[in-house]
Amino acid sequence: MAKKVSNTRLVKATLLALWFTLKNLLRKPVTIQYPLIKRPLPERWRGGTFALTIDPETGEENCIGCKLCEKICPSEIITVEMEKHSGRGWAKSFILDLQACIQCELCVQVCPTDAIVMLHSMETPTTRREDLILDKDKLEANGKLYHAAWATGLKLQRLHEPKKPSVISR
Amino acid sequence: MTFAESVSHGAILLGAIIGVVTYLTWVERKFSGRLQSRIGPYLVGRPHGWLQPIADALKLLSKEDITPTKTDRFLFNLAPIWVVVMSLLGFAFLPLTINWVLVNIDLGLLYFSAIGSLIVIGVFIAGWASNNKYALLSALRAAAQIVAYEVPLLLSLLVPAVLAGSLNFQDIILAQEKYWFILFPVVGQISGITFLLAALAEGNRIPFDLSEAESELVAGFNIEYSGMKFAYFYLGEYAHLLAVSILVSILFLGGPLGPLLSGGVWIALKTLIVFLIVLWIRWSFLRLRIDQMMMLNWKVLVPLTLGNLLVAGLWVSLSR
Repeated sequence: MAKKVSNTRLVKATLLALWFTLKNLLRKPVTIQYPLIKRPLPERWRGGTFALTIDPETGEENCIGCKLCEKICPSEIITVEMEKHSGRGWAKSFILDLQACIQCELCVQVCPTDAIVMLHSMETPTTRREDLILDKDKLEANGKLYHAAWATGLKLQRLHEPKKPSVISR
Repeated sequence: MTFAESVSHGAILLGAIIGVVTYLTWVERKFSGRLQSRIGPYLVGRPHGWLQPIADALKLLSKEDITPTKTDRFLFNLAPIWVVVMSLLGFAFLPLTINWVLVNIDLGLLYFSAIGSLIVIGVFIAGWASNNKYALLSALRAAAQIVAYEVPLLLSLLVPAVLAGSLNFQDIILAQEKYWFILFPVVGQISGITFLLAALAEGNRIPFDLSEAESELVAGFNIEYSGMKFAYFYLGEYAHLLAVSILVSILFLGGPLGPLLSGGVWIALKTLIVFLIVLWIRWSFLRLRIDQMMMLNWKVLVPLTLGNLLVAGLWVSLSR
C-alpha cells in the first residue's frame, strides 16, 4: 500500500509543475544551432584524431619507437615498429586504427617524448574505412591541420610527481 | 442550403481542417520546444521551420504501404479510416461563426459527443486487428479509459446546455452574449476544468495517454501501422483535439462572440489558446498510473460533475 499523500501537497505539486513549464516558456531557448554555431572545444578535449609531433627546432620526429603506447592501448589499435640509427630510436612504421579507438588518451599520457598528441578536432568522420586507419604520414599531416590539445605526456606526468620543496633564497 | 452548396461547403471545411491540423503539429512542436527551453523545428523553412509539417506529410505519403501478414487485413485497413472519418464528422456540427455551420440541428451537442465517442471503436479495431499483444493491451486500456471518462465528459458538457437551456450550439453561443460561461461563478469554472480534463482523457493525451505508454506498450495501438496509415491515426488524434478545443471555446469562452474583430477571428484565437493550454498541461505532468486515472475519474470527477450539474440545474430552475 502506497503512502497516502495529502491533497494540499498534490495541488501544490500540480501548480508547481505548471509554473515550472511557464517559467521555461518565458525564458530564452538555450539551444545552440550546432552546424551554424560551433561551441568552443574544451582545452583538454579528447575526441578527435591523433598526430605525431615534429620537433620544431630540428625538424625531426619526436617519436622514439618505444612502444609504450602500443602496450597501454586498451583496444590494441596501435602498432609500432622500431628501428635504431643516429644514436636514438625511430618509429619505422606507426599505425593507429581509429575505428576501435575509445578516446581514452592513455597513449598520450604514457608518451615520454610528447610524440603522440590528441587534436582539437571534432568533425572527422569519413565515408571510407581506410581513412580511419592512420599511418605515419597521415598522423604527421594531421598535426598541420589541427592544433594540439592541452594534454601531452610530459605535462601529465609532471602532474603526478611529488611537489618539489620550495627553495628558500638566502 | 441546396445539396450542391452543402457538398461544396463540406469540401471546403474538410480541406481547411486537414490544413489546420497539419499546421497544429507544427504549433505543437514549436510550443513544446519553448516550454522546454528549446526552439523546436528550425531548419526546414527557415527561420522557424514553417515547412516542417509539409515535409513530414510528404515523407509519410512516400512510405511503403505495409499490411503485416498475420493481421486481419480488412479490419487492419478499416481502423485508420474509421478513426479519421469519425474525428472529422464532428466538425459538421460545430458552428465556426454564429451563422456558418454545415449541419444545424437542435441536438448538435448530443450528436457531437455521440460521434466523438465512436472514435474508440476505431482504436479498438486497430488493436484487435494488429494481432499484437501490445496493441491489444493498449486498445483495451483505451476502451476502458474512454468509456469511463465519457461520464464526466457528458456531465460537464451538460452544464452549459443547462445554463443556455438548449442543446443547439447557436443557442448556447447566443446565451453567452452577456458573459461567458467560464465566468459563471463556481459552476462554470468547475465544469470548464472538468470538461478539459475529461476531454484530455478522451483524446488520449498526456497525462492520460496510457494507451500509448511508450515504456510499457512500445507505441500503443498503432504499433503495427506505418506510413500513411499511421498518419491517419495522427490526423484523427489531432482533428479530435482541434474539435475539442473548438468545443471548449464555444461552450465556455463564448465562441465567435467578441468585440471589434469578426467572429471567425475570435473563435480561431480562442481555439488556439485552448490548444496551447492543452500543450502546457501535456509538458507539465507525468503520465498517471491506470488505477490513479480510474480513481481520479470515479472518485473525483464523477461526483464533482454530478453535483455541479445539480447546482446548475437548481440555479436555473430557481432563477426562472
